[in-house]
Amino acid sequence: MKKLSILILFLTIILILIGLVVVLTASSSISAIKYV
Amino acid sequence: MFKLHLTRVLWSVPVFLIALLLPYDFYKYISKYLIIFIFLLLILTLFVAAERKGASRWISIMGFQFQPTDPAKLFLIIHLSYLLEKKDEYLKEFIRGYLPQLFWISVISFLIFIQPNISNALLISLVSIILLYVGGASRKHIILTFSTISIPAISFMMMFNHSRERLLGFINSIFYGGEVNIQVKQALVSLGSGGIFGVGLGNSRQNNLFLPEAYGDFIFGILGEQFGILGTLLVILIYIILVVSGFKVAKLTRDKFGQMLAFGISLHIGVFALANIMVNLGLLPTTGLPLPFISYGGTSIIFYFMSIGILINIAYMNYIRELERNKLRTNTSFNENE
Repeated sequence: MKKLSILILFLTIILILIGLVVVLTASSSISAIKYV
Repeated sequence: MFKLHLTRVLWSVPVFLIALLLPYDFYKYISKYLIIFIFLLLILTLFVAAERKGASRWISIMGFQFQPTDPAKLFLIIHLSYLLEKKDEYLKEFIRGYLPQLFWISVISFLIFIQPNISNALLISLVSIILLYVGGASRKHIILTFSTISIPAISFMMMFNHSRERLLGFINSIFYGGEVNIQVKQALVSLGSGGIFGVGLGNSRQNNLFLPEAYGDFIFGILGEQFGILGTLLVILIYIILVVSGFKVAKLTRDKFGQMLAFGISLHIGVFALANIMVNLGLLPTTGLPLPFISYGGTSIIFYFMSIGILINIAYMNYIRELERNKLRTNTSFNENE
């Protein structure tokens, strides 16, 4: 159970980081195009 | 937009820590209040929420934009888990065992359905009914519920313009070919142009206003464009491992409330992730569902964090209880040998 809780935490952090990176890249292009 | 997303992620950390440190048994005692609170909040949403994209889903509390559907999903799972444990002996009886749970599922789903937020309402009902089935409810009652609810639900769905268009677009694409709609077409272009390894981080062309909601409901398409099929498969694999780990926690948990709560949370994450991915691939009618933990999705991320905090707490509490039980067993056998 201890290992499972660490695994769940680790996977969640990875998903959050992927989300942050993709939201950053997706939103920055949109804001960039506004100023073109 | 990124700053706002980052702020919400940072806001989620204290929520996660509270859920992580609070023993999950505590939710048993407050589940009734949580469900009544969310019931009142959903009623309030119908009257005060401003209409956005044809639906009234958001309310503002002290300047904080808030979608009550997100906590409603979690609070319903908590209350159902409590009822499944409390009514364990009567689960096969319709009136004493099944009806109280069906009542809350129907009320909460209906209030979400008429916002209108049809996809969320249907998926919440699906997750809840699977939870009842796993919890020991009668198969006969569940089949009866599905057959009674499905026809009025589909009829109601056809009453709202946007859901009718999406549903008919999807059915037409199955029978006559062609695209489901412009969003799905662009999402498929994104996924296809990513190839095996993707175009690279920050090189997405589709998010330059080609793909609507590139950072929200259709983020999976952008993910596929930037990281390729390997990136998307990795994300799917992470979801599978996360959900299976949650099921394993449920299996190893000793008490029924913990079991049902761990199962419900894991199933909820799995079903919503699967639905979002299927929408991006054009395998389901287009809906406004965020991809758990990844999408720029307002309050959803805070409540997904809270769900994971509870799940880890269930795992950790049961680990500690198991250690204590083992210690007690060792002491007892030692005393007996003496």
